[in-house]
Amino acid sequence: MPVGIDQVRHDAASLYQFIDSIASDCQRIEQYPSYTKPSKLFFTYIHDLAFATKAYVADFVNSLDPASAVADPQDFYSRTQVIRTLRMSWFELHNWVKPALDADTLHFPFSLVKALTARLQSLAGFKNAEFAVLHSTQLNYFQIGARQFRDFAQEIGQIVPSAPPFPSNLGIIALPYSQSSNTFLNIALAHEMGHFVFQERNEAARLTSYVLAEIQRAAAQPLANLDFVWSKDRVLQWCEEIYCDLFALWLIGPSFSFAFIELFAYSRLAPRATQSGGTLAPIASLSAFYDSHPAPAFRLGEHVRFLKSPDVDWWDKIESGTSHYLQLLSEAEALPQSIFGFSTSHQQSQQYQTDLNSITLRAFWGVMDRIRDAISSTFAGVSSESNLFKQLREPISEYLSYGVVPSRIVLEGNAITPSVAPVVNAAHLFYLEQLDTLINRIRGAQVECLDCRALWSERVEMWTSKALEDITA
Amino acid sequence: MRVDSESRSRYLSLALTSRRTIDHLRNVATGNPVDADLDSILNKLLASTGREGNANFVSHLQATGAWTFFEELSTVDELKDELGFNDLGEVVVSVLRDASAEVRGQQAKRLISFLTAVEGRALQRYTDSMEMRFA
Repeated sequence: MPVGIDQVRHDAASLYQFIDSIASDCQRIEQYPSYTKPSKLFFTYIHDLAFATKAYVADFVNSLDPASAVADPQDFYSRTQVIRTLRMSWFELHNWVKPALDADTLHFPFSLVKALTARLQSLAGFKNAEFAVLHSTQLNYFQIGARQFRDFAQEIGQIVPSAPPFPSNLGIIALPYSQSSNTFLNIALAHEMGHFVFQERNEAARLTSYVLAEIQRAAAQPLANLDFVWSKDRVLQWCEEIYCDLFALWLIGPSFSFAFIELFAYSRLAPRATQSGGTLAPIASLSAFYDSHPAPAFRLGEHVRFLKSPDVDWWDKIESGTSHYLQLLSEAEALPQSIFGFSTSHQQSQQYQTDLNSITLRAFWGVMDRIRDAISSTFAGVSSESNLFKQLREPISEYLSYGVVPSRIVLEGNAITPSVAPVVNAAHLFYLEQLDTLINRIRGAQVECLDCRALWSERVEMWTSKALEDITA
Repeated sequence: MRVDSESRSRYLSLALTSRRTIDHLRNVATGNPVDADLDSILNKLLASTGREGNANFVSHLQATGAWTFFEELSTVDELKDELGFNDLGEVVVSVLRDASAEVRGQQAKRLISFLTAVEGRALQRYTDSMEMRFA
């Protein structure tokens, strides 16, 4: 049966209903006090986009000539496919709206996000940056993909003429719904904020010419266009991930590396056997690059190289610690570049002297310095606060060992308010290395008791969160 | 086929870009000149086909905008083969540069037909990835 205007009207009405079902809560929620201003901006955007999309669909259906369905069915089909495109677009939006509704201020680490945002606002050009927070059912912070939302929103505006612009300065970050009270794990959000800055500064455009040149150099012969583009996309994605890691390290310090290790329990890997009968450090088992992300072992090694750089100068202030996380980081740094590999399901178009996976990896090595340059430029004039950490670590640890929130520190007779990075890193290292000191001071608590450790770990995180709240009030 | 969230969103992005181009092309198909927005989109599409030479192709990739990602270019390539649309570059050039409004209109209609297929394939890839996620 040929498709005519009645069927199109039905599909359009169904789309109408679908949009309403997604956007209706956004309108209601605007009056609720339990959402932050950035979240409300996000809801207003969705509501206004819903209004514009429905108006566009109504105009579109009214402008269709019913006779064209018979006269030129191919053209009629071409015109009306837009309803499917819009439906899929709202399908995608749906993935973001409910997670945003779930993340009210009682269910996300408000003080940590505020503290990280305050640090980020000190970057040139980001004074007014804000973040709407979403909840995700995925536990992996690094796969949630909230950064793509902004591009997508702009693209809808290209076919819905009256679509509102996505609010400038509004970034979107997502955290696993179950981890809202886990201060230390949520340090990973600093990486997500890096994606926002990467986009806003248009770093991809800056890096692309270097990436293309490195691919050409690594290939040493012309590549088929599709292979060239595929390789370019991989290297650029890896560049962005490394940029975001380094961004997080400059923004908040080595606490980001600790969160990264803890999230995936990288401290519990088995040593990797080699063909010569020896073993490599356990972290060497994570030496494979993925299509979208660099190898975890490479990322952790790069963390250390960056923490050692004069730009942030963190490493010498933490390296003597006793945490097994620090040992793991040192082992990652010591891995030779030759152990890293990349394999993918992509079928290269032609045979080359060097296979495309190797070309892609070599191009990435060639562009690494440019990523570090990009980060130095991003943070020009912004201190890593590592020297403040060196000065304040001991008193902050002592406060925590007595269950005191380190919002104000008395140092040599002067009361000072510590800044964000020293508090977060001193508290995180206290949690990793000195929790026993606190537990031993609690009557009835035992260091061997896992329940006790979990309980007092949670307390340390709460005190840290309270300190951040006081500091940024 | 492994599709991550980045790749999935690029397919949706391709569908939206195709639709935007189709909307502009409809004006040309009815005898109107190519507007500045369409001129920009079609020149990018043209560069992405490689027809203008390798240097132009590399230069195009530096722009990081539409028609520069693997998902976009591979879908176009796939449909060129499937539909026998081997003169895509010539059709785009004709829409952009032919002196005759009639010829431009005819070629615009061919391009609309091709981009409708691209939009549909991109939506299919997007939907496939969502179904895989639910599986």
